[in-house]
Amino acid sequence: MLSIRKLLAVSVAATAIFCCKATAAVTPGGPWFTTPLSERVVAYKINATYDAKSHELNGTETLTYTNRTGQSLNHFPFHLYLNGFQPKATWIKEAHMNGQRDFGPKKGWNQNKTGSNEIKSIKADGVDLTSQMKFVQPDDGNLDDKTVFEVQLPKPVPPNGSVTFEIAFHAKFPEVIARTGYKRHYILGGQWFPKVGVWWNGNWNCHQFHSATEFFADFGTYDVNITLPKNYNFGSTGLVTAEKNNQDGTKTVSVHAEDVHDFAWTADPTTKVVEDSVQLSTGPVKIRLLMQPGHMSSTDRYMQVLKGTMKKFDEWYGPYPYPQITVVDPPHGGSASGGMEYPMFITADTSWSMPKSLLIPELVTEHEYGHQYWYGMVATNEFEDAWLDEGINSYTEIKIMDALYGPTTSTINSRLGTAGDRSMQRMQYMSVSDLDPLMRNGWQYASNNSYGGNTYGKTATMLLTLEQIVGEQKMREAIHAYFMKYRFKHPTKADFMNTMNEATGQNLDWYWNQAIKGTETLDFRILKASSDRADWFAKPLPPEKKGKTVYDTQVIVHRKGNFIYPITLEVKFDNGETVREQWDGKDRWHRFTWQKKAKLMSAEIDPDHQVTLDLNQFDNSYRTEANTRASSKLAMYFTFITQWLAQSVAWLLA
Amino acid sequence: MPKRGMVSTGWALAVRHHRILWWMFFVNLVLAWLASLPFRVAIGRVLNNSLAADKLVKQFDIATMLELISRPEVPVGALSAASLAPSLIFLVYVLFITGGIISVYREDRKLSKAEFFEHSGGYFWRMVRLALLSLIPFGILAGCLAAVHAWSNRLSDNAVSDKMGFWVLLVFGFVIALSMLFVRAWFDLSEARTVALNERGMFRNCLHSLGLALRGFSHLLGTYFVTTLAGGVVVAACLWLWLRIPHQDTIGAFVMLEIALLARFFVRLWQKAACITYYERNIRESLPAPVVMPQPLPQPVENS
Repeated sequence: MLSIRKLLAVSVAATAIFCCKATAAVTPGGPWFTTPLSERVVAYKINATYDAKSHELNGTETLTYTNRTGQSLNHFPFHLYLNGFQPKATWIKEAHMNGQRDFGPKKGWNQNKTGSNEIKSIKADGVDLTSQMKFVQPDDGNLDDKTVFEVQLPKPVPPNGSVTFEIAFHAKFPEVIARTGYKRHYILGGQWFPKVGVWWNGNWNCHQFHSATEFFADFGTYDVNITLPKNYNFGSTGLVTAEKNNQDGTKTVSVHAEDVHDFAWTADPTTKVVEDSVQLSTGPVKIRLLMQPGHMSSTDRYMQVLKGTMKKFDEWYGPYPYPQITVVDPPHGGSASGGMEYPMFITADTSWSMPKSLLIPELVTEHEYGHQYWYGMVATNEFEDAWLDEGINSYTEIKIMDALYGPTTSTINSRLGTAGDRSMQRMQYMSVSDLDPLMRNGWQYASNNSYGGNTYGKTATMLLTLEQIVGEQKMREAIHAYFMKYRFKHPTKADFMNTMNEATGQNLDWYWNQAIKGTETLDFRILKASSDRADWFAKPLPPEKKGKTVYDTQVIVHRKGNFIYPITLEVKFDNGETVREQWDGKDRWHRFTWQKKAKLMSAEIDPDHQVTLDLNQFDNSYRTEANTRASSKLAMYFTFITQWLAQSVAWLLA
Repeated sequence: MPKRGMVSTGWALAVRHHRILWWMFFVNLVLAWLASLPFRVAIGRVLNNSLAADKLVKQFDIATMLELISRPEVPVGALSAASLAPSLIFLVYVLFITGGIISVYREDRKLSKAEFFEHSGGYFWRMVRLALLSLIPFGILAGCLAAVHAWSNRLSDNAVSDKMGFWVLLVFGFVIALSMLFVRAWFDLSEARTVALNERGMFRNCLHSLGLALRGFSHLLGTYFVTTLAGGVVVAACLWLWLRIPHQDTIGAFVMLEIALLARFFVRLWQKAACITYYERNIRESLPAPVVMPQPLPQPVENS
């Protein structure tokens, strides 16, 4: 077996050669790559006409499915995601129960939020199957949910054989909601066409659309023709191969994409297109920003973070093989379509009043670009293993935001105060730390908060903590190895854990069992820390002399949580001496003792502040002499706010 | 535009009787400090012996702050609610001394303690009634502000121009702020009239004062606007400087914030003094001369 370093070196070199060929001079209509990057299970050819007034779309889809499952397939499930936006659908029911914005318990149904996908006809290899379409609800049995349907084929598709579906469909977009929809003239076409499920681990995987979960699809090629008003600026997954003006005031845009597993598009007559490129190890990649006119002040911010992120990903985790990335800046009121990832196409988020000290546009852009790797190329199942894309992506987001903007200033950087991305991710996890294990289907979390706090925050925090065990560089290499091994594939949780074990050269199962499979919480504290004179019994007791008097010092470390984890303890003495001790953390508590001619000054668990999973950072340390500066400072601010409040009330009424 | 004399005379009065300013500031500070004690104790238990507290001293790490207030040992909701009590006590205190303050400004002399508290106590309940009556117009304005805010939010999402919601909030917010200034001036005039005429019917007094305030609309509103603007500039300057004070300099930062508060107190007293000046000069003079009732002749003392 190759050592991990050799494996990395070989894979990077191979990828560089391979992708240079791909991106150096790409023909938009394809082929982009000399060898397909993925198995290319699906080939979609879609012709669609978008009505900008009604926000509806009529389309025909020709889907050629190549059976690479190794067994015959006789039935096929399809997603109709837009049907999730109906009052009785599972998506809306879940959003309503969770009190999600626009659908909370006291909100009535907003007709503008209705979306639908209607199949007008479906044929398989020329045989009409429309009449035998059957809606199924594999997750919750909600008969009103029509987000998945199945068809039975007249004859099975043999291994390595293929079947061609011809589908005529109608899509009605909702006003922006959950990563798709319109706002005024703007449209984000996401999850808009009938999409076949994924044969995965010996079964069809085609879940209903849930309010917390995202998507899962097979890699393939897309050739899409979209007809829309002539004055609309267009952007999408893939590369535009042709644009033809029609006589009725519309235009038809033709697009081609390879080795992607979804296709999204946007159109808006008011956007301004800003283009640039970034030089990566594989060659130049074109950047297209579709900016709202009122947000032009954010252009440089988007561009700067995107270029920085692309270079860091290229350097640390692996190459970006596609020739282009499109970033969509949604309009005001359209934020529900912001912060979303599709292959080669992401949506960001800003506003005309976005302060420079709040790094929201940077964070969103970084995060969504990261999904090109964790979702786009390493195409995990977002329904069942959301932490594998959102969590790993949140971890790499922290690493890159740290590198680009500083560990303590990568979210808020103002004179008033600062906050780093790692701290904010940790905060997100802390509130839901013991509610759900990461190994849980996305729609089965206790709440959307728990889903978010665990899949994003806990995974990121858990991987940051792992750095303390394996080392930062090793961790980077392991993530790189995981990417290289599973890009253009659908890895499982076990694949991730096994790869990390192999790449780090350590069996980390003890860690995965607690951090991923369990709900154990990690919480250590200093239970006791003191120094007592060793000659306490002497009569008369001689006066204390610094550097002469001998003290018995003890520090008791207590594991409050059930998460077993080895810790480092740093103890400082008043003669300037610093001692570091290790404890495996298996018992509930451990006593450290020293006899020295010095008194204890402070004791601190995790002195390098790497165990970010620890739920309470305040009791991880103890200083023998109390320092009231922090509490005085906060109390003074509290005093001031109370004064201000009292003064304001008095101003009004007296 | 305001009469120059009103603003400058008000300023001079407020400066001459600066003891009132210091007393208001002192009581406000003491009450707030007392309110902060439970908070200080609660966070002291978490922070004083922890090395993590340094993140709040050397810098101001917002995540650390959020983590602190999310700890069960720091019930920030209950502690914040407790800080409302000093606000109410301070309001009662200010209502109590308002009669005394107005008397000082009207007579432009230092009252003895006994005189000051006699005036304060004598008008206290009337000032309370006026404060309660002022809730009606202020409540209406607060309702307007909430409606404008909701409208602005809708526009921010749905209007063609992305700044439309902001401009609506700014323009209507400004109008509502001016209206609040006018209501304050109106009730300051009511307070002045209460003391000047020893008025007892507060509702009638309010209606009468409204007429007077409307007659002097531009003078009063101009005066209150100019003084508020001046105070706002000082407060903004203090906050600007406060943001530039190093995080470790807790005392410097606190002093700067207290200067901002002091400026706000001064502005309020300046407004009261200017309002009383306006009342004494422009309204008091036009009142009919008080009717002097003939005194009954003394009865001769009969020798028994």
